[in-house]
Amino acid sequence: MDKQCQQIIKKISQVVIGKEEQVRLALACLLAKGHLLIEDLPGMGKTTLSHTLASAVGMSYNRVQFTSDLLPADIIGVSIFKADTHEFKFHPGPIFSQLLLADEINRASPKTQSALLEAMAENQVSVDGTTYPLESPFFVIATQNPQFQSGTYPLPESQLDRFLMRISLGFPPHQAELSMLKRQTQIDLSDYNCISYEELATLQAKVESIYASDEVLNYILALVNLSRESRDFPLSLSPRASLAILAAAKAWAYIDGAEYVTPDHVQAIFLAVTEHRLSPSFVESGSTDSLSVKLLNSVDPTQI
Amino acid sequence: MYKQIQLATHSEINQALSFNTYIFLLLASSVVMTYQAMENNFEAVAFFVFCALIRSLYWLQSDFRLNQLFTYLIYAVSCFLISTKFVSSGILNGLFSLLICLQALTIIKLRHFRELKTLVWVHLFLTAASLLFYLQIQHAVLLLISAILALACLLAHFLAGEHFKQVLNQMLKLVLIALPIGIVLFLVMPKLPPLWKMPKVQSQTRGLQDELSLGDLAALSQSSNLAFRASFKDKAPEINQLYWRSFTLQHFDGTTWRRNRYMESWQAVAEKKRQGLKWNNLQDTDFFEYQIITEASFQHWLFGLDLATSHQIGVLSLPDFGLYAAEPLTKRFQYSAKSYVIKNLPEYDTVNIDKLNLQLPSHKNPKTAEWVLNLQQNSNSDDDFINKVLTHFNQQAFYYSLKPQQLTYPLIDDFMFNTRTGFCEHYASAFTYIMRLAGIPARVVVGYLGGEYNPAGDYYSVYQFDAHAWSEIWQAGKGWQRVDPTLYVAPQRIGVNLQHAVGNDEFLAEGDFSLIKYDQFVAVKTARMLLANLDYQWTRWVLNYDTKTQKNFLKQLFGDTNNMWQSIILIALFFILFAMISFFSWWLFRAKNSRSEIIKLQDLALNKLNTHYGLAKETQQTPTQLLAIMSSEDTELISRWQRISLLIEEIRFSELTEPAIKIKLKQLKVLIKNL
Repeated sequence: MDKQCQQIIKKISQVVIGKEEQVRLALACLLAKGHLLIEDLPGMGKTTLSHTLASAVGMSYNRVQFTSDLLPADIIGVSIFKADTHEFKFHPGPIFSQLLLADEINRASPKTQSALLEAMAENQVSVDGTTYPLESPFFVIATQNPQFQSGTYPLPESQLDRFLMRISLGFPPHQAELSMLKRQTQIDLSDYNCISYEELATLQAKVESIYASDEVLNYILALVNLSRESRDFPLSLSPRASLAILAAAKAWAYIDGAEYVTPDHVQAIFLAVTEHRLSPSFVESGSTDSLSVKLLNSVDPTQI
Repeated sequence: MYKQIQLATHSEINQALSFNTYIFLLLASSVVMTYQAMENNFEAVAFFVFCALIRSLYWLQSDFRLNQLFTYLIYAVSCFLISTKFVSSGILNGLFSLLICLQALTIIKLRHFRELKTLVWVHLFLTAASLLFYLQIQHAVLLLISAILALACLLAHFLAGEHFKQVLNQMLKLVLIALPIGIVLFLVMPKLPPLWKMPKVQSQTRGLQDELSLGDLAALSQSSNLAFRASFKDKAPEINQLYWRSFTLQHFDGTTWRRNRYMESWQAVAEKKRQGLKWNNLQDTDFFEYQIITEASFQHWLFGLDLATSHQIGVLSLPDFGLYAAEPLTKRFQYSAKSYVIKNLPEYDTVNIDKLNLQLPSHKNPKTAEWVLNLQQNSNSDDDFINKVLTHFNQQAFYYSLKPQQLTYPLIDDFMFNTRTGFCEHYASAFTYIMRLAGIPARVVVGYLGGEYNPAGDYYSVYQFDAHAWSEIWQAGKGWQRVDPTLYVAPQRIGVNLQHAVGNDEFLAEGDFSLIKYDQFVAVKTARMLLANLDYQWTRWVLNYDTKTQKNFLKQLFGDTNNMWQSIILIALFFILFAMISFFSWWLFRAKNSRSEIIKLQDLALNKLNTHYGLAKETQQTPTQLLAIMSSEDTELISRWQRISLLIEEIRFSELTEPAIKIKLKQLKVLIKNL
């Protein structure tokens, strides 16, 4: 495993105990320059994970708690008329940061959701005819409650597609929860910083240069094509999904310390990358009725 | 799934020539031009090399341009070279010179595919022409390589951008496919008679000349070149009976023995009318049957044991018991002969015996004449006299030497009473002369004696150093009898060979390098015999594969009569052959990519794991993931599978060069074998 990444994961795991797999996926998502969606029941540590992750990689971040009355301007910013200069001045909203933590994104109205997701896609916002570029790179880590909970507006498929990965945390194992309970001290997140923001950029560049052979690309395509051809899948994986799989697999391979992507890497990130694209409604990750698992089980990686 | 040769499109054909093409052209030319240089076209070849060097400058400096004046100068030089060659060496060498100069001028202007094509075609012609002079197998192989390189030059042009080695690789594959087709064509294509004859060039005659001065054979004995090879059908005579007669010499002028007019008239008849002598009533005696392959001597003389007859067309018998070819031997010539063992050979033309065989030169040898007179008076018969002469050679201090002293006139006197050192022709001349002085008809016979037996090929090689001269005397009632005076001086020459007779120091002392000199080393001798046999078989089965042998071969293959079934079988055979060649070419040109190979190996490994250990892979599992289902006790298996799966992974998914993949595939094969 890559030493730097190992260190980051270790640090975050001190806060989010017993969820190393998810921590690793979250880091991979970050390294692959993708937005991350964490979905789970309240109180499972979604926010903790996102905060720890942000501070671990040295990003400046703003946190926005989404509610049903949150307006787009609350995220993006507003232009206010200044009496002394007789002109409008733009007051940037919380979105103008390196990392935006969008808590409970599905509690906001669709209007606000789409304003955020548009910004995520275009990396810029337009207010009153003026375009303001966002930080580059710009990340969103969103958390959401399962959609059957009351007071939620489920994110539409098109917007879910913008997230590179969706992960869910699940209940912590017995031992982990035990040590969590034993831990008395308040956590100071600034202690958990491992790398600077610049170092993160170098890591991201390294991830991009990981070698992916034609065979592994063919494996990805075989998976993606099956979702398009087979009738078992109501939604199929888009080309953006293929790109996402590759980017995530590269990041995973990098964290793994490998110099090239193998089908194992693809499989490792596959569920996180595709589940929310194949079945938007909440399914417990890796369960037998998961379409992504079905897809994985139907393609033989040795025969491509 | 297989890779085809990507041929260039029309526009690509006309593109600039690649460096590979040029290198192939130079390689091919270097072989043929060396041969041409050996064939007396040295000036023209030097001119070619010069032009090729100038052309090479284009590769060093891209802006290199030839001066117009210089171009004219080169044209002038080539014209001069060609015309002088025509005047000095005749039409054949002149034509070759012309071709080489044209090659040189083309190569200097070499820009486009058109010129390249011309160069290659003329090159192929020159290659074939070189084969006319150099028939031995090693030359044939070298010239074949040259032709292949020339074709590779064309291929390199069409495969522009490919690596030199790849072009060579493709070419070799094409050759492998062409070879069986070539062999079949060679075997079944009708053999056409040559369209033109090799003009006889007098200066080129090799081996025995049709006149003999004292010292001629001694000079010839320095040559280790092959004269001819003979293989006997059932049994062979003793080595000391292998007197290969070539021709007789009857006219002596005191210095040189020559053919006489009478025999020359017979030769003329043989050449013009293709008529010779028929020997009758020979059936009852013992005989030997043999085949002879002569080297190209550019003369008419053939070789045979007494008394040789042949039924072959173009092989004629002359009254002096020699065999004579109607055409000069411009290339290796094969004929079969039958020799009847007759001790006393009958004279065909008894009337002229005395006239022809008692001729004495006007130039007198007084001492010898006096000695003969004395000896004759003390002898009671001709036989007694002959014995006394031979005893004289044997008892007195006569020496056998390859380097006899220069004789002074009168020659026979000087030899008999002064130097007493000589080679076989000295003894043969002296003896014949003495016989004639004594009134016994005698003549000198020239030919070869002995030969080297090659056990691997069961044939005799007779070299130029086996050249020999002996005498023949005629006595009424007894006919012609062979008398070899050398036998009384140096019996080893007849019993063993020349090397034994003169010793290793003197043997081939002045000749060119020859392996025969090193026969005392067993390895050298074995190797030399092996190569000689290879060349013999090549000559026998390839060079001499003519219409007759072809007919026999086809007869053996398909039987004598023609019926429908045989035709059908023949056609079927052709189809099978065609199919085999097609399959062979597919197999050669199939894509040998490492990808399909690794998939195969991977399947093999997974199969083995399943059958030997009962570990089945689920669809989505990768080889690496199988480690998880292995029982942790079996550390041996786990470590092995770890290495295998890592190798599979590396080969399939990592960024490796072709050679590295090949190495890893090999490692993987070994690992899977031991699984």
